[in-house]
Amino acid sequence: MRKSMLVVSVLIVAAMLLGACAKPTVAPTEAPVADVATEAPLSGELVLWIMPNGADPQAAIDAELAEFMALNPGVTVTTEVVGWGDAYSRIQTAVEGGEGPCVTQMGTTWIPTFGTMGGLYEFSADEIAAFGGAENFVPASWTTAGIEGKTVSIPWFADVRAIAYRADVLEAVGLTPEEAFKDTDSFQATLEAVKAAGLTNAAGVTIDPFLSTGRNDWNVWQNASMWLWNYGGDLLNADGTAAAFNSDAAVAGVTFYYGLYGKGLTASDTLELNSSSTDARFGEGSAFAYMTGPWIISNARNIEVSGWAEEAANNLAFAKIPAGPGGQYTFVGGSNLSIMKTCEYPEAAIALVQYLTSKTSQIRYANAIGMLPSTIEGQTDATFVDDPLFSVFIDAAKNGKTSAAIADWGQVENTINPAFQALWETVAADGPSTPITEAEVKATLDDAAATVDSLLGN
Amino acid sequence: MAIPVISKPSKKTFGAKLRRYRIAYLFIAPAVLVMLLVHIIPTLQAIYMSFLDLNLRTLLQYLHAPWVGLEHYSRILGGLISGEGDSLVKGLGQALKNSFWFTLWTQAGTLVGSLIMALLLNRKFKGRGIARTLVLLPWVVPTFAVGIIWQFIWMQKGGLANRLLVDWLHIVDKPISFMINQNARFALIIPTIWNGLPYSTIMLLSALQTVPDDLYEAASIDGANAWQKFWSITMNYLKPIIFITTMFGIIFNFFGFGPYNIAVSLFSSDNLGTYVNLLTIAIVRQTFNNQLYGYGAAASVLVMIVALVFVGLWYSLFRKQLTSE
Repeated sequence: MRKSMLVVSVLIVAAMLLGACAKPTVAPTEAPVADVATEAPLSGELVLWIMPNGADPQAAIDAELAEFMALNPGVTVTTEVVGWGDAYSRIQTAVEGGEGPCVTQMGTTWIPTFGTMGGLYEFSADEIAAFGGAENFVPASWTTAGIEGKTVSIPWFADVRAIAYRADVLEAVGLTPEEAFKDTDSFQATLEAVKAAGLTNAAGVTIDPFLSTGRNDWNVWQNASMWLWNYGGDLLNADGTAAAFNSDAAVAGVTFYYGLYGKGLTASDTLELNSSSTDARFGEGSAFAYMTGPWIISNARNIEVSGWAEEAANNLAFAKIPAGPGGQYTFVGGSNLSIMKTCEYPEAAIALVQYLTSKTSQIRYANAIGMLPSTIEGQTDATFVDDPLFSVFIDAAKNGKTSAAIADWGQVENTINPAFQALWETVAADGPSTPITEAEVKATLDDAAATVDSLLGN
Repeated sequence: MAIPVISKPSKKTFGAKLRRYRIAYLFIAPAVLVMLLVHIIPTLQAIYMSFLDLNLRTLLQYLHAPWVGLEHYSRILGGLISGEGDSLVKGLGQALKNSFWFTLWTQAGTLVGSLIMALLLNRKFKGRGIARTLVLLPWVVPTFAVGIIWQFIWMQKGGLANRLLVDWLHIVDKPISFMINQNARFALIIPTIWNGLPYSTIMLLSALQTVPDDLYEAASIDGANAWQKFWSITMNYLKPIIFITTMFGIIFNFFGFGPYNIAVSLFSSDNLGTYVNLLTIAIVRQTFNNQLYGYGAAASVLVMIVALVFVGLWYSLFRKQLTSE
């Protein structure tokens, strides 16, 4: 009895193990049909990872891929929409040799990190020339394409920042856009005028002069950097070897921006807000101005979907970030396309990237997701330059700045971000009627600068 | 009828034992294999990684990255002890302090709250069944949803707590920023208690139901008052459950990820800053965002050692209480 039990048990366990290890039954698939009429047709099964771009990410990319696959019948592209929260770690796993895509969207600030790891395909000079060359791309976007002289990504679309405001409120306080957003002084005067006017929206809610996102936002250093640049400061020195964000000019710029709360020019709960909630708050019509990107244009033009109040949608206007003593710059971010070294079909992958950076696709896709094309020919197309809302971003992008293209940018970002977040904590501790001082800003940024310098080997 | 005799531990060789208990070994073999694959091997690998300079530039070398011995350990421990470490170590120190206070408040709140709830639910009243079911509700809410629910409660503009305090009860003049700076600590502690309360309540309630009524009757005859009965009888039965749930609670809150999920959706950010940055999360952020895998592995190994020492100490200190008398 015991013997037979043993035999049965062994058989059961063996069957279970064999079952677990057996190859899954795969239904026979049809071989891809080659286009015999085309000379050396491309073939391959590409996996493309994108992030949730626009209101309907899948539909937007499907429209592009349908045309690409029609042009290249031997190539099939499967898309996976990866959330921004997971994308970084999943790409990291793929770079390390794990399961991953052939082509992937990359946040521009990630390129130095993944480029240094060595898992990305390096585009040759000939391939770049086929994309129209570096001169075909907006300069601020092209600076994000590579690391240490290697081009490991191609800019796909650009995210440019500006001030969104309500034209009707500006008119009500008797100012023109030219004088209201000319420089930081006039900008502060404008916000003071809006506050003094005490206007209310259609629902009877007081219109706050400005919304600034607090410490929990995901655009903390990006938002601070624009004021820092406009006051003549920079994040790092010219060759990216030392911290520069604690210079006197930089400190003055950051103090101006962070000081708006203590001057009573922002919404009282502004420090709890993030980029999504400021978009929503502006859409309700209860704020005059805030910093944002071109993606809200589609919200204003589709109020049935976005739920924006008519007064906010009909009066949406943009202005460049006000100039400071050091100039008038804006942040240019966005996303690039990279090919993984492990991709089995690099030629098809290059063709896909080339297609997605072609003029037609650039204009159509950027329009669909509410961003700007990364190519100059795309940005200078009438679709954008003749549009009164998009044209402000096109103009602003000409003076665009972005993160430094250095291998250690990831570590630098992870040092400056907590520092700029800590400054929001100081702003909150100081209270709504005490503007943050330059000394407070300087102390926090000096501390972060010492860390960055040590990370950069100084 | 033959009386079964408990045999003395045999002094047989390992081979003989293996032959005798082969079926048992065969049945546990898959579990042991899985344990080895998912627990032991990664843990050993992490310990090995903690001696390597595994970072952004050496990641593709993986376990062949340069050997740095105890450098990461001395950096972390030296910095924590002296208080003079770099910004990463200072961040760990701050997170350690945050985790300590967070765990202390959360555990105290959960214990007191669940004890009161369990004692109330142990009484006979109409609708007791429904009340017991309702108590379980916060437990079945996913942690990310807990964060969202409480975000709507804590919001400065339009949040339920501020409406209650400002508009309805008129206790305060202006809305409070619950989710900023020092207040953020309790903005996280309270939802964590709310989420963990049902589990402790049910555990304590089940222990209360094992207390024989005879003991209370005998104590009444002896002239014991309510407090004496509670302390000498009820608490005696509750002690094992209190000590075991407290241990699990400390492991969950100090070493686990549960509070992180609540915090991320509550504050809409995964960078929790000066006041609510917790230890495990700080290690994850420092490791993966800075690409410092060797350093992160060393920090994780140190946390693992602390957790093991804690569990060992807990068992040795409360060995008696962990067994019902």
